[in-house]
Amino acid sequence: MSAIDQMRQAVRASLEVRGLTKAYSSEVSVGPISFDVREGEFFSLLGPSGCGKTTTLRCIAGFERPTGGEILLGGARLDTVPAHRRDLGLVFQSHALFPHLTVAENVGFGLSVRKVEAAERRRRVADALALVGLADLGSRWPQQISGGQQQRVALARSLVLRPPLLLLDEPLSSLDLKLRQQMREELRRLQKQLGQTTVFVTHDQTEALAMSDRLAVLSGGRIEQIGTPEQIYRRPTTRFVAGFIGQANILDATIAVRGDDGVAGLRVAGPDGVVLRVRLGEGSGAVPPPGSAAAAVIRPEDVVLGDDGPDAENTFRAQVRDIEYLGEDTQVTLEAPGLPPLLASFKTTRTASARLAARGSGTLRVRIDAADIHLIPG
Amino acid sequence: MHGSSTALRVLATLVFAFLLAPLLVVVLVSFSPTPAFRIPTTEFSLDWYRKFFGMAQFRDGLFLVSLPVALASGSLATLLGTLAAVYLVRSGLASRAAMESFFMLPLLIPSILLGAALYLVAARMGVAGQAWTLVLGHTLLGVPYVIRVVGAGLVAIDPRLEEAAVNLGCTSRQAFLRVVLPLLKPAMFSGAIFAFIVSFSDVNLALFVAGPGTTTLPIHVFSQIFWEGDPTIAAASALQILVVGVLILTMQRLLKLRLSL
Repeated sequence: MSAIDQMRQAVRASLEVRGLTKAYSSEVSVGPISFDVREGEFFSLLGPSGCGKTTTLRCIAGFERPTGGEILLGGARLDTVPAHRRDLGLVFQSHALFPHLTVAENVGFGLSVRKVEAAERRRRVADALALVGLADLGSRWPQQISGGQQQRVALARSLVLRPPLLLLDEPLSSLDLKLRQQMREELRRLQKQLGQTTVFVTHDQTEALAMSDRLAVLSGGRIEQIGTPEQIYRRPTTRFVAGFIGQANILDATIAVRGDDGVAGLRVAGPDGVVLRVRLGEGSGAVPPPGSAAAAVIRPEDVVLGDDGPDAENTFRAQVRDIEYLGEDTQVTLEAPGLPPLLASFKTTRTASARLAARGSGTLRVRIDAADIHLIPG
Repeated sequence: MHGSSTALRVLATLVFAFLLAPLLVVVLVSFSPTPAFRIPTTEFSLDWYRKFFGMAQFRDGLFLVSLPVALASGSLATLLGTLAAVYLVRSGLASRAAMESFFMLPLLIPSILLGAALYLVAARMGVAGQAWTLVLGHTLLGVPYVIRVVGAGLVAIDPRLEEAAVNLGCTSRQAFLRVVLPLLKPAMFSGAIFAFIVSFSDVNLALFVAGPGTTTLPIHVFSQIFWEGDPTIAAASALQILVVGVLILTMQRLLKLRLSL
């Protein structure tokens, strides 16, 4: 059996967090937070600082005692086990390598605490270092290797113990951009290869969307939404998620008409607010009754510019207020009667730029597909 | 900018000269062949060193009293100071600031008062003049330095390291022994050197507490100045400067080592 196969056996356990709360004072508290992580899943906790994601992670690791709720690992209570007996992997943002030990001694630390025999220890340390691509650096000191290498050593130090669950606390934030992207792919590849159940804490939405099987978006100590990256991006269920993940036009409105099959007319708030046609897709829930408040979420890339086809649904003429070239994408702020300022974006291709330039000082035709408008509670 | 840096350099040189000149004079005198304290001399001799090592009271004062007492009190102060520092830094007590000030008291009270007080207590208990009374007194002087240095060292250790150790299976005591203590070693050595130097160069406290047979080298030098006063005391002082100087250089290397981590 190869080293990786051996590791695969140990590193799959499911995690359940049920009604976890942590009160710091009468004003500051986290929770209740509930989520499940399936065997072998890469699950992210995403949110701004102070949202409770780190507290949740520290409760799982055992460094914080929850005020209420329970945590189960593979169906067994975890929150009653002392931190040093939980046998979970944990990688810190600061790497937290022991500066007085060599790379190999760092990786072998957990094994030596468990009194694993020296020969076996050497073999497993070598396997773990090879796994993260640092087979030759065992005799170096942590200060002598780069930040990216330190990160891998920290990872190897956890993985060598074959933890049923790996916790990652913003492990990529201390690296520079290029390295971060590289480590992101590598971490994900390794996680899939091992089938390692992983909980990843981050404030970086790109990281969370790119790496996760599923993620939970947190705000103010609560979970806003749990879903796959696509669900979170395409079908946010709260205003916070819509605004936090990517960019979004969020238009306050009321339901004007309700038709069949998820079709509705939405009157945008404000004087002379236009009526937008909305067609909800499967899994987006039912349209609320007419008269109720709702908000429309429209991603900038779904606002189509310069569409010269026959009049279709949701078509306006708009003034261009502002153009921002972001390299790959171009972002345009539009103003149309009966609508608040609208953000649109498109790939900076030659034809798209030419179309934008061709408008001269006049207005531009803008279209939003009814299926690209998403409803959230107002 | 350039002008001010030149001025700064001149000022720094003057300060150094002010601090070092007396030491330099003592060292030069110790090598002069004449009994008069006269510099500059053109000749070089080790006569005074020969005389120093020839006189039992000097030799014993250095090798049988000062060095052993400094070693013992330095070690004791390091042990106590480290324990106190760990407690102060880790306990999270609300009274921590007050406790810290309390431990600093031996630094704030004139050591001559401390010596007098210690003498009164020792005399009442009938242990004045004994070596270990001196050791205890010097331990008292050394502890605040150790607390300061070790406390700073402790604060500089990332608490995540201990958490990482616990996560890898250590109890909190194992985490302390396997991770914190090794990282604290340079600070403890520095603290020990401080405490050693404080003891080795103390006059005020020893003046009260030392007795016949426990007369430290500085006390001998001190009394020699009153009674005879030949350059033997310069040789004694130069030796002390040598010991202290080597220790300070060692300590600096230790601290630099820690900073580079």
